[in-house]
Amino acid sequence: MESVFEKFSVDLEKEFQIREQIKDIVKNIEPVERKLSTLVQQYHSVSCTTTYQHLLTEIEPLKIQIDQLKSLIKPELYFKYREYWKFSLTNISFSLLFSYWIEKKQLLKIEELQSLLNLEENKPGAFSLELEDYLIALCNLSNELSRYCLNCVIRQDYETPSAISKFESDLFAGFRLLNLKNDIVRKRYDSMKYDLKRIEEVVYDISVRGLKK
Amino acid sequence: MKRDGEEKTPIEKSEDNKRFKGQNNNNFRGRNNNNNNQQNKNEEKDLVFNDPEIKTLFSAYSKKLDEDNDRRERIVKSSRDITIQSKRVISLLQRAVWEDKNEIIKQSKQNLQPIYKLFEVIIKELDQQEYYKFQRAFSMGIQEFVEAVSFQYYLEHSSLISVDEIINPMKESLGLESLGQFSISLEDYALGICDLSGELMRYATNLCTKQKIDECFNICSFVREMSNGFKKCHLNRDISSKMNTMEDSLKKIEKLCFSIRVRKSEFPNVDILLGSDSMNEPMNIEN
Repeated sequence: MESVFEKFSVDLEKEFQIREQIKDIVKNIEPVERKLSTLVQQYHSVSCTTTYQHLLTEIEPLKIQIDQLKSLIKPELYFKYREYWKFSLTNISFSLLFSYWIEKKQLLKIEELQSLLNLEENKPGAFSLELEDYLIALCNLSNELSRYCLNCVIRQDYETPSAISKFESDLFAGFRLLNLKNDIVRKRYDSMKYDLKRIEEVVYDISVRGLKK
Repeated sequence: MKRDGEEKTPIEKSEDNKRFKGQNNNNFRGRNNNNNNQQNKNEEKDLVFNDPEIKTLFSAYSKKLDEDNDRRERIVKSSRDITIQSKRVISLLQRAVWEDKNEIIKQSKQNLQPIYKLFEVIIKELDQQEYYKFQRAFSMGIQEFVEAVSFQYYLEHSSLISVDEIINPMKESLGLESLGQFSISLEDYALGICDLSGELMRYATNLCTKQKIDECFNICSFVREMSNGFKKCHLNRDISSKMNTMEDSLKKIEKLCFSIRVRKSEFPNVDILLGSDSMNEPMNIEN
């Protein structure tokens, strides 16, 4: 029995060390995450200086951390420790999605995000942006667009809200194709219909007053 | 015109179901929706999507989610069956107090065979997959299984089973060289072993009723050794909470051994017969 616990003790200690190391690395990811979300907030104000290109330069340092995580964590243990950086990656993805949509009026695909962030494609053992995280980022996008829609009107941009409305209804229709189980994505998706409603009301307000030419 | 109207209604209905109602019974929904999706494919494209690319993307996501969810469901199901059958093995082993121990152990080994078969299902599902992605779906089953196997091993060898000694019979029984992605993680092993202390506590209590007092003392020192072993380690949260249960079991066993000693010392030459609930009942002296 001695030897069993000897080994057990060594292994647990190793695991503890790895967790500490991951925490240290993730600590360096979080400032980038915060920086991005502040930058993205500027889109709501009247004078906005943020550009998508700017965001891309901001995420450059992330590649170091992601490489560190990749070399630290064995592929088979990737899912075990994913919780540590999942939230940060979702937020960063959201910032990029939001910025990309505003400038290109297009959806940034999961594969594109993965290559931007120096992540691999979804396959077993690959350090990747998981579909679940991407979907949550999309829900965040939907929520933020409903807010952006109002702010467009404030700065007398009457064209963008209808583009948002079209995109949002596509997004919502897309989510309807998914068989979600009772998890966090489902909860976020459930609130999406309110975003849609808010956007439609803005479009209604604009068109009923003949503001859109 | 009429035809259009007729066709739209079921589509709208299914849309509504997807949106609001059907969310709770997902397992059944998956299949129904797939059919609906195929039927409505063309119409939906025209009706709902401004940008057809988004539809293509989400259809692919949907497929991937369904695959994962179905796989997880299958694993959960096997895991639940493993849990049930392991519990049966454990209650069979508890009877070893009153019946022929060797016979019971032999029987329990046979009963493990169907459990190995269930593990085979999980092993196959995990092929080319992420172990830890689905780990939570089957770790309960593994823990219960570890508990059953380690209990059986203790009854046979009076010592602690190692992970390899759990895995090897499984490989043998399934005729597999390697179990692929599958393994018994250290954590599941530890949690299973913590549960073993509870079973041993019950077993020890029952042993007293049959006056197998020496065995009772052996169990006491075995569980104590186990608990000391765990204390040396840097435990994570899950294991430490189980540890508390283990300590409780240990204290109960110690109390049991204590009262045996005390009562024995009062009547050194008399056989004492303790009730199964030896703490509360007055002791019976048999002459």
